[in-house]
Amino acid sequence: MAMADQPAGKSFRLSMLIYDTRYRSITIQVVMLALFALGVWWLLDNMYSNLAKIDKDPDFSFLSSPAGYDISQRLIEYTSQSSNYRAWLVGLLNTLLVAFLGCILATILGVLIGVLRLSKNWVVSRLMTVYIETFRNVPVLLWIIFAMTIFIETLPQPREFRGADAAASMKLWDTVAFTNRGFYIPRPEWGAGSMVVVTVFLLSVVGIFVFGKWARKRQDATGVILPTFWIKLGILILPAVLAFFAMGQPITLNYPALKGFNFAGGWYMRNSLIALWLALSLYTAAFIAEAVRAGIMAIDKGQSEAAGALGLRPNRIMSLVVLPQALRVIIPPLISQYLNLTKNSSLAIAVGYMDVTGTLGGITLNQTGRALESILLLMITYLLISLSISLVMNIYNNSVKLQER
Amino acid sequence: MTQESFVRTEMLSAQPAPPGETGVVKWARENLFSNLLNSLVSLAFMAIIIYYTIAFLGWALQPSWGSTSLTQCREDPNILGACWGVINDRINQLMFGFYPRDQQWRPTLAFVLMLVAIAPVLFDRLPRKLMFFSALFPFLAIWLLWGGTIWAPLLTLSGIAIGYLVLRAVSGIAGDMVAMIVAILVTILWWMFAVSPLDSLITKTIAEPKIESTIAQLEKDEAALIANVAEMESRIAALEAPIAALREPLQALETRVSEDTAVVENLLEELNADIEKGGISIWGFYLWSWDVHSTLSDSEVARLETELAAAQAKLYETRLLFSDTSKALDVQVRSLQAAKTDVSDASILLKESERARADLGLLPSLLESLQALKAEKAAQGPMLDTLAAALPESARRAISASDLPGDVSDAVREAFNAREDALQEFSDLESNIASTENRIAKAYLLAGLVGLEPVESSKFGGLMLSITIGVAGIAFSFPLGIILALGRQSDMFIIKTLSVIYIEFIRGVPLITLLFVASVLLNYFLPPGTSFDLILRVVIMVTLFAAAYMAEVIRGGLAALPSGQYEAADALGLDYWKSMRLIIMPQALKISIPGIVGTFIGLFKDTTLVSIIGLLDPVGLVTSIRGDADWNGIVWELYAVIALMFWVFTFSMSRYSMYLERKLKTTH
Repeated sequence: MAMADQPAGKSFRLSMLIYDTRYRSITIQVVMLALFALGVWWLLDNMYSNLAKIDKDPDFSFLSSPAGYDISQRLIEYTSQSSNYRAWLVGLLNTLLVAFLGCILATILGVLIGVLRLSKNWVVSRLMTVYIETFRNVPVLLWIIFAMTIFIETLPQPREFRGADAAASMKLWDTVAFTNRGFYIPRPEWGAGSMVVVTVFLLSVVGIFVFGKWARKRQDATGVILPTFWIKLGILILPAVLAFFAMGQPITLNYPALKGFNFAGGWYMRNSLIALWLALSLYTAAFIAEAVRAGIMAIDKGQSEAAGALGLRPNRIMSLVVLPQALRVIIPPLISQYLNLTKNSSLAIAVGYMDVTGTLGGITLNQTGRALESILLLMITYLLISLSISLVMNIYNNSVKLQER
Repeated sequence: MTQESFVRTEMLSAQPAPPGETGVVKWARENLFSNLLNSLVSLAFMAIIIYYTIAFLGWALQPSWGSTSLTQCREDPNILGACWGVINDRINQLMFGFYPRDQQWRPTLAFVLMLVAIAPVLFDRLPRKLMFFSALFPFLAIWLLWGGTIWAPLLTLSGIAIGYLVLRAVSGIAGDMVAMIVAILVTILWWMFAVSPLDSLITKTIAEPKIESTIAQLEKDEAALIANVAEMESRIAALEAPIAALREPLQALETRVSEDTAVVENLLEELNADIEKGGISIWGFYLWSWDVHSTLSDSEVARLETELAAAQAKLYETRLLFSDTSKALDVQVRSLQAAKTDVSDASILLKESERARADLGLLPSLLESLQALKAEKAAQGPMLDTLAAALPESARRAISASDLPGDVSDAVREAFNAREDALQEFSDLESNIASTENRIAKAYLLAGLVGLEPVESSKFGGLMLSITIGVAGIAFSFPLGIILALGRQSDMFIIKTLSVIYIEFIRGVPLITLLFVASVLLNYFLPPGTSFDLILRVVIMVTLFAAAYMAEVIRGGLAALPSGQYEAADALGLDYWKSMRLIIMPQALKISIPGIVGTFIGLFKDTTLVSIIGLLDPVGLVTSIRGDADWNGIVWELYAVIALMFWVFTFSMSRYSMYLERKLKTTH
């Protein structure tokens, strides 16, 4: 009979460190820790001696020196005399911008395509399959470069909008212009009193949630079902519109107009931003569609049959029975796709969009030569963004977890 | 009881179903036309699909496979869309990068052997003995792709054999675990310290008797090359005349083309100036538009249109003639250019051969000078130390003269400068030694090479590079991912923490930052003076990246396993590794197959990112192809072909994953 433990009182021998299960795990951990520490010490030692040879000790003072280059796409004030730290911040905001826009469009498209993929109509579901398979199986870098090339090669140049017999014309009653340099759309101008309108709008968003809770309580108590969708829509739109007109239309639109050879006024959305946004969204939408499809198919068919037996119509079955259960399965992969989209936005340097990889990891790195510090800061930036998104996912997961024994 | 009842004595045979309920019609009624909305949607989508497919085929199906430049495609009136000549011209480059043409059978052979090596892993109907070949394949593939002596892979394999022998020997004495540790240590030491010196020793032993004959052979080859070059130069002279003869008529044809084009353009302007656009539009976007003539009468329009048709036919003929003549001229120019490139290639080869021959001849004196340099270096070492000791502490750490603190005396400054000079001399000496050793090694390799011609990593490119990095990454990240997953859910605190930190860090950063580390930083972390191949560094980083994702996928599979399985394994008395190998891992891996293959597919697609750090994978090659004067401006054809190449590989991988899932399915 093999004994896993020694009887009490036996003297301690050195080989017991390896063979006795009481001590083995401690031995292994100590050895692993020692090896790890040794490895880290060896790497750091090599690094310091290599850096000393080329006279570049680790030094973060480059962050406060002037950057010396311009960033055309920026959300905050920045000139070529601003510090490298500010360039880093501009890049970070650009990354967050394209990630935010991409996530929204990808979710909308992905959910739509995922639901259509499950349609009974053969043509529609096969078409969606073709879309998903095409976009999932081609690398995202290729899609980004492709999208940029489409914009550059097929859209007209701004100067082709000139003249009485222009080759190209603005759309939507002459308010937007699609050129090969970018999209020019109207920009809102915030006049006096616009803050009131915005506050009223935000309050109405809060009001929607409050109304939803109240309507649900009323339904639970009395069984009366209100047309919540239309009432919520009304709450969203009416107060803001009334406030808008009451304050004398403080928010106006600044339209782009052709001045000379280029457009002036309005909002200039660079083709690099649009191409990156489109490519990332279309690519991630394919993955989100698969996640949505997997989530809906994970719900037992018996659930929808039982709901049908209760007399619910198909759209109510979907919204009241299937989707709430499917969301538990859909949301974790959905959030990890958001994470992937944010990390894929680092490919922006392929199209010249200045995100944090392009400013900190690109031009700043090349100009100051501080490779170690720049890449370390770049990794920490992405790590913080990823960890915060993962934190959101973990909170959601824990809140909807099925309680098992 | 009564006579009205009727009882059958035999069954009626089954009748065929009504025509609307069988076959294609039934399927169409259910899936396409089940209600009004469905029917409208089906018809609308089918119309859109057919329209765009016809448009795409119209662009893609062009007789342009033989074109030799983009301008030729655009001028040829038969070609109205894609210019596939670029693929014909550059397929070799897209597949192999800059790998030498005459050695391209090696990557092809390696690819075929890879398919053979993977087959027994993927399909279990094949004999298990083939797995020996799969285990042997990595060494064979590295040798085929990078070349070099045959001793290097043989010595590496022998390291594994030595390790196994040590394992058997020691386990008899000291027990299994100690034996395993000792065997692994011995193998690693053998690989680190014995393979390289033994390889050079064997090469040197083979080379020494052959030096004379190699020099003689090189001299003969050089003479042949010189004769070749002379013949090619006479060919070049002969080609000049036909080219000159073709240029004049080409000029005349060009003027004719521009005249005819002017006629056509005038007519078109007249007609178009008259056209206004009418149509149905919403918010400035035209759903359907048509042209309307404003001032010209119908008969005038008809007359102008017949004139236009005639002028266009004439222009077409002239352009055909022009394109034929220009093609003929192009062919001649191309032969001339090819001959010129041949001549320059031959002269480069000649120079290299002369240099190699010279080195071989000088081998004894090179060896002597190496000894002398090494002796000098040994002597200078202590001298440097005395110089350093003579300086005060503050001055010793200064990096350059400007860094010295202001209050040092002149004598100290002089001593500092003397030390700087000595340091510079020392490092010059070191680089001298390194280059001499390099020359000696190359000379020995030239004389005594038993193996394949070495090809440097900088010549790798194209699809071959993507497949190499992808396959290497997949193969190494799978076991590493399994170990990380087991580590993450281990009970041992240190191991669990280390695994978690590693996985969360790698999963939080994008691959491009890790590739930046590979290309810029990894050299800092290695001992001074060593440097790894860039492809090897990229493979290491890609493996580390994929291992973290693989670990998460496998962890999901492990978590989906009921805890009863672990408990049953313990009840059977299996220790940790046995229970993992026999019970837990087979089930966990089966559950996580979709995730694993998904990670593989993602890894293969991520190999395109190496184009950003300068390696020439297909996406990176596009820029260099477009930089060529012939293909300047070509866009869609290249991207379509590259996308198709990737799509084929990844789609096959995902189809295989579905096959595997079906095969391993044990539930309903």
